Amino acid sequence: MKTETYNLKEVDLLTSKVLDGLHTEEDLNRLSVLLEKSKDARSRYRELTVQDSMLHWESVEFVEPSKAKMIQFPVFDWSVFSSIAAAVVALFGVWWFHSSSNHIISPSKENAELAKSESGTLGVLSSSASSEPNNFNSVDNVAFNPPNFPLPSPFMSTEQTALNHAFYGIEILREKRNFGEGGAVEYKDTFTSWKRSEYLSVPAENGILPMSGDGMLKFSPMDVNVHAQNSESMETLQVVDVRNINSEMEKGTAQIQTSVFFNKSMDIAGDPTEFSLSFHAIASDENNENASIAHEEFYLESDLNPSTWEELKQDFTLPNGTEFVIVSMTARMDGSNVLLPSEGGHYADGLTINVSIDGQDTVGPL
Amino acid sequence: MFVLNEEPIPFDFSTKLTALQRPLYAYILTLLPNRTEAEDILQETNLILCRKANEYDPQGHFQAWAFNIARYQVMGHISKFKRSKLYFSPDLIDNLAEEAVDLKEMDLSRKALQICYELLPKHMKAMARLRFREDKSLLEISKALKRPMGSVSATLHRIRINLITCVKDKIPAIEAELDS
Repeated sequence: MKTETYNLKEVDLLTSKVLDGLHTEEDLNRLSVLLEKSKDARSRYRELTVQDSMLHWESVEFVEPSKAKMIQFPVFDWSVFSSIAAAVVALFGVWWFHSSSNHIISPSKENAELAKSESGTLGVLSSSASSEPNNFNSVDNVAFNPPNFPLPSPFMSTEQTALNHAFYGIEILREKRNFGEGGAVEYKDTFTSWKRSEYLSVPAENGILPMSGDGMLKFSPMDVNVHAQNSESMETLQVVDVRNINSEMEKGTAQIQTSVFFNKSMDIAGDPTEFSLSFHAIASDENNENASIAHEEFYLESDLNPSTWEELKQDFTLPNGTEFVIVSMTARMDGSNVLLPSEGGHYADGLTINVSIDGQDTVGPL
Repeated sequence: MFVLNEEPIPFDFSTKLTALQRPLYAYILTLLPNRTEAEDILQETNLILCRKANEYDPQGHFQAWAFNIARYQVMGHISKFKRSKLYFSPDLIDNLAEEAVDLKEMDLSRKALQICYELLPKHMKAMARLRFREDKSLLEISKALKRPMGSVSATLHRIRINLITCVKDKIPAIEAELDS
């Protein structure tokens, strides 16, 4: 039975390679041998090829992912949060959350409608990582009316938490405050940032040593989607106030240049993790509410060696009108092994964020 | 060169042929797992079927007859191009051809696939759209998403496995709903 299971995995891999045209003669010969020997292998192969045929044939019937939607972010009054938080803690867990705010995410959250849902947070949408900052689609505002101010919930997804942190940071910067919870305000030249790196920092753990210095950034525990068999953790790293470089943005010569290193500890399954670095350009719309006017995401797949750090280095050109840039990172895993208990963690280090103006002047690290 | 009959194709025949397009394409792709070539063979098969429409016995098994013609087209194609491309052996193709596509099961899978596709995470949906709908090569996807080819290939594999697992999970419920 074990051999049969092993061979079916091999059939899966080889069939994928053949369907994508990546196979060698050896691969095809090996697949042929497996198919000739086993009825189960032929059955599996047929399931995959029939599925591929349906995906090609049926794809016009599937809902197309939305393209670079512009989402309204309401302005939150965090002073309410501060005053209520103490009372909530005193009452020992009078948590107020919507029914679908859960670490085990229901399938309904895996679509654009998440943007309209609970907890006063909005999902930020993008159809692919190649959306061009200067190609703005028409505004597709998502109305958002939180009934009452939402309290942080232990059942809130990391994506919602990360967005909350980002929105909070934007408000700190708008109101020109010098401090806030869960992050720090820092100044570099004429730029002000809301930085969360200190709050994400951990010392060496789980067999991972910081790339440099004493600390490294740690992702929150992954949110597991049982139905889709994937898991994800998202963290807001920094919000940068770029309102002072409007003229450079008009010329299209202002860029956020970022470099970060990723690593993961050993786990039971030994599957790789996909890390990504994400940029959102935020501006006020005609209703004076925050809206995402551009988004880009860049990916990297980790190796399985906990002693090495992999670098992701990317630039993001600021579209005209950008007021704030949210820099965030995500760790994702796919497959049935995400359902296994995980004792390890995902980490980032060596984060540097610079602003480049006219391709010549660089300010940073911010 | 194919010459169609000058006589009109019977309505019943064209209805059956239209209904069989998806399973016919799935069958051809199973024997010859290359999308472009499978599409070409589907077109050739359709032309031959249309040409032979008036030879078809309405009492006969349409699917078996159409699939047989498709199989001969696949074999003919392989004979023509086997020196320059990689294909399964004729014996294996015969073996695969013996086990027919179950139309009812395919229909259930199709319904389940529509549900499961929606459950894909957004980054996987983005890639699935580029690959399956827009018919982009892996190199084009790699450039569009700014990801290495190996990562694209691995993710496409995970998409396939995730979908197939999900479809198997959903089919009993869909079947029960249809029966009720």
